[in-house]
Amino acid sequence: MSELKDTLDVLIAGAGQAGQAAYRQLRDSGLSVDMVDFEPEPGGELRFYPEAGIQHLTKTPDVHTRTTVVGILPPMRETDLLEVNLSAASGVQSVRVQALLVCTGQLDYSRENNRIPGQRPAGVVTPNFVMRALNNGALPGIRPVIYADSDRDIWCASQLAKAGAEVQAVLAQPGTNLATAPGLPAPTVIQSVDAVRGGSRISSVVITDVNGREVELLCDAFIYASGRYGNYFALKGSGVQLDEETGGLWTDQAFRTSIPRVYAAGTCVNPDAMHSQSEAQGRAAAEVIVRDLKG
Amino acid sequence: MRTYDVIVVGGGVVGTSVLYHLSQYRREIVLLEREPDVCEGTSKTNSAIAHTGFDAKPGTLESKLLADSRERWPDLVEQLGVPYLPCGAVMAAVTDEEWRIVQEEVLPTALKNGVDDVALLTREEVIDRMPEVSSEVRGGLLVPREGLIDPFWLTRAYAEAAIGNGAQVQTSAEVTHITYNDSTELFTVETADGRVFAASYVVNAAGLWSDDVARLIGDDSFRITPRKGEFVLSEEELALPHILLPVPNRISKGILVTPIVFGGYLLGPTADDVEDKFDRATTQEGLSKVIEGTAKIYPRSTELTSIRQFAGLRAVSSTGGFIVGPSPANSAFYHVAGIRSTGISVSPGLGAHVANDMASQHGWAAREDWHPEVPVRVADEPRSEEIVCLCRTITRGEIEDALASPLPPTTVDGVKRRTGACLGDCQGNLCMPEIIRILAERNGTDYTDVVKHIRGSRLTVSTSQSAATKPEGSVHHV
Repeated sequence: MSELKDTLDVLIAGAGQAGQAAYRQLRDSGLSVDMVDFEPEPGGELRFYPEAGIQHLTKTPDVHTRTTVVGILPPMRETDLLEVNLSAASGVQSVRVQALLVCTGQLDYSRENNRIPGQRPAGVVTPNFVMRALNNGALPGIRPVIYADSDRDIWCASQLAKAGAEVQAVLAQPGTNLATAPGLPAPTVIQSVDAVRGGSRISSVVITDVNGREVELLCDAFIYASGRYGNYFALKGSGVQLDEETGGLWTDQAFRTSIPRVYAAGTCVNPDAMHSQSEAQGRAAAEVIVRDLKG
Repeated sequence: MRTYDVIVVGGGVVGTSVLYHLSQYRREIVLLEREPDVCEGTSKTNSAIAHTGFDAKPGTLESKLLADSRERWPDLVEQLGVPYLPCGAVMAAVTDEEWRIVQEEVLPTALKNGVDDVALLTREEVIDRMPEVSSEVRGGLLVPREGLIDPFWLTRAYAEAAIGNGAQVQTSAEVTHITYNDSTELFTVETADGRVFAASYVVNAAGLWSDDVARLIGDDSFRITPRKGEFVLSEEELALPHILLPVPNRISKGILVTPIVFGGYLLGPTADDVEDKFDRATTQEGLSKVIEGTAKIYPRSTELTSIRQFAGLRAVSSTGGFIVGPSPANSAFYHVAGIRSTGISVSPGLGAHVANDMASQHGWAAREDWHPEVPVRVADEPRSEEIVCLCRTITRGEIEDALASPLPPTTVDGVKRRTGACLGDCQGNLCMPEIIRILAERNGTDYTDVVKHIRGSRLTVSTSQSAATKPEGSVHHV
């Protein structure tokens, strides 16, 4: 991996679907472009899920992995470049760019954000935790219960089952349209998740079923995420505007954030789109950047 | 079996402060903590206030120790390098009756306790300082020296400074048996994992379990029962520069809104007597009580986004107060128990009181080379700046620094408390798997052996074992 240049036309933060689509487009336009990612591997969240059917994600060779945008210094005058601060094992670096494209994806709201009462044992985690633990040869539990509100959660459950877990239940709110996968029980429709029980480790989840009955489900792990927000950490402290409605970064129609020279695309802008528009958005954002820079 | 002068049982804020103050003397001392880290019990779940004791019952040991601690805080936080925010508190009266209580009861008590810098505030003065306070406010009392502290940092700093002066701390060391040999005048203390320690004196600082530890030597003179306090944590920016206190009633000090040293606010606690000493569950009722309770003085509490809820258990003694002094069963066994709600606040004075009491009784000489500070380690190579915790921008180097400290963390929560990793919006779901990997490597164990906080709180199980080991019940109640 080559060192990052001190000055670039475009830096892309996040090498998932949106970032990689933008990267290909920008590179072909002749602009100098580089890509960084916080993760040890490129590909974003979908790299964990072959079920998503994305073929090309990890094949992009020129990503600086384990390299994180930790802040920006917005331009003082319109003609100034944007200063982007990066942190990596070798140290901290500052790169001056014409444009920064943020494609850092979305994160899940966990049990705590959703105020699920009960005890606080180990074993209540989100799919993000699950997939990273699986990469380390470990399961969150042998008999997990999963709360699903998107196909991503079903894929996560399915990978747990493939790794040897006996999924006890897949919980879903009424009307949730979910993918099916072998090895998983049919979804249990529930009204609410009411409590987590357990001492040092989780022992059960208490739910209210469609008939209003309280049911205790024994388990040794609870995979729970509900609601999403855009990963805005690259712009932390910059005062960038967030979109309260979507929970993502605010942009105009042309992927421009509230800070000059900073663009954003993909699920960090539309967390609930769950990657369906990421690739198209990445390409479209790249086109806007090319137009803005080349005039 | 190693023989010590003193064994301290319990690594909460009280036990570690006793250890720190004992380390001033030329004695061999060791602290035994049941959990894998210090500060895993009552000390970790509270309002984190270094309290002046303005409302303590005058004339009690508690009020005396609070007064002593008040004088010690400024030097102590400097020496131990503990984040401390002397933000002051405002008690807000929202009815005429409450305003009467503030003027006729709370103010005179504060003066009697020697907290003489308190001041009555008019309605306008309260609103001026705390613009978001309830519009019902009639007046208030300013207590300028109420402060905030990080309980984990304080507890750890006591322990680490003691270690710097030769004391030992043994974690995952649950005391299960204690015997006393009259002829050798030595206690033999055994732990659940078979370790054996001998000592001339034992200090019982086992918090909620101090009655159980007392019973190990046949001392049945008191009982400890848990009183639950539920809290809600919010990271929103509030216009509250001071701790906002309600006017206490006969039953409790009430539910407060407290800034946190590192940002954000704590709302709580409730006060409910429970049975189980491990019952730290939060409840829907508790959450509602916290929100409704604080809404009386701070109406915005109903709209706050909470990032976390937690509950702690205070140690309530059957005697109604502190139990500090030699056991009636054995005068070489020293209780420091029943420290119900002011453990952090009294810890400087209480630790000094216990250590000085024992030293003067037994004629122990002070160490001339005693260092009150936490030993400082200078890293010999540049730190990795790779970000491990995205939400809080915590680097691998910062985690490695924590692992090289005098009391290195072995649990994920241990890393969290020492570095701030896992404390952001994602609640550690992104970085925890990597922190587990770092800990497994450092502890020399399997990935699946790493625990979250307390004994048995494993975060993962092995994929290769999954089919073979299907537990009948998955309840591991400790």
